[in-house]
Amino acid sequence: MDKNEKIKYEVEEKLEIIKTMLVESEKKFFDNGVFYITIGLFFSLYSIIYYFLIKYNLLSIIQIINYLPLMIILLYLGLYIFFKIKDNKGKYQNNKNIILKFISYLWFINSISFLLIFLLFFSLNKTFNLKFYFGILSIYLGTNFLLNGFLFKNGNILKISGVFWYFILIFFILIKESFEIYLYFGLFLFLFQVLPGLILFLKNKKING
Amino acid sequence: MENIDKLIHSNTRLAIITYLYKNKKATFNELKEILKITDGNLSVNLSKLEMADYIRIEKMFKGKIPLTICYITKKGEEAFINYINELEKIIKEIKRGD
Repeated sequence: MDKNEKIKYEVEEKLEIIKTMLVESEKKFFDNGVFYITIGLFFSLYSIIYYFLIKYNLLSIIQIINYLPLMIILLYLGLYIFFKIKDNKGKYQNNKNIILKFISYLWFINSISFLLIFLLFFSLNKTFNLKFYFGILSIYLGTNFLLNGFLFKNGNILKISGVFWYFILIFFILIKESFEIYLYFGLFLFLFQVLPGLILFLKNKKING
Repeated sequence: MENIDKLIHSNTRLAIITYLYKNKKATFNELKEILKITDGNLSVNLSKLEMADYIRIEKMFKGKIPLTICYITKKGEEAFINYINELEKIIKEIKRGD
């Protein structure tokens, strides 16, 4: 190898290091998991409480309130939580880049879609199909988790959750239609959204302090 | 190659300074995770960069957990830009030689 070739090889090596680090920087932000914990706990509890209200014939208590204003309040509450978490995420992470923005808006738009689909199904009272509704939610969650997993640096736990949500869809296809689906969904949310969130939270704390 | 900054030219230090140039700051654990190197190796390289005033290191406690944050300095940013310019010159020279 002559001198020129040696220098060329060295420069290429250095450029490769710079390129790698710039790419790492782009996907550097570590998901702190707070989003999954908060939203997961909120919907998980909502689902489980709803199940118990049906089981013990207590649903009439909340049926005094018209579901539509309730849903609108929940929608606004969801939006408030979303922006609060989004702001905290910005403080927690050093740089806000296009991937972070994409992820934020993906969850934001999908959260609105969840509620709108729920409203739509609720308005079609007679044809309300729990299996179908929760099946759609599983696909949404599976897709979101997989996308998050591929885009975040510490994404393995999210990818696993995404795959599980696709399997949960099969579960909803196979089980009998009953109000117990609320309980199952609440538990699944806890297992495959809140728990991964907790793992990410602890991992992030270890890295970013 | 004689004008190249020898301090940044090391692979690990080049990676550190590039990462800090892009992100302005990073924690010790963050750098360790990305560079996949040992605590000792990272400490040695950070100290060399700090001694040259290319980076500034702040040590603090978050609760009871120690936290080390590295910041790139103005001098560090300039050194990185100069290093890139030198690489560019070398590439041009090589191309002329071909």
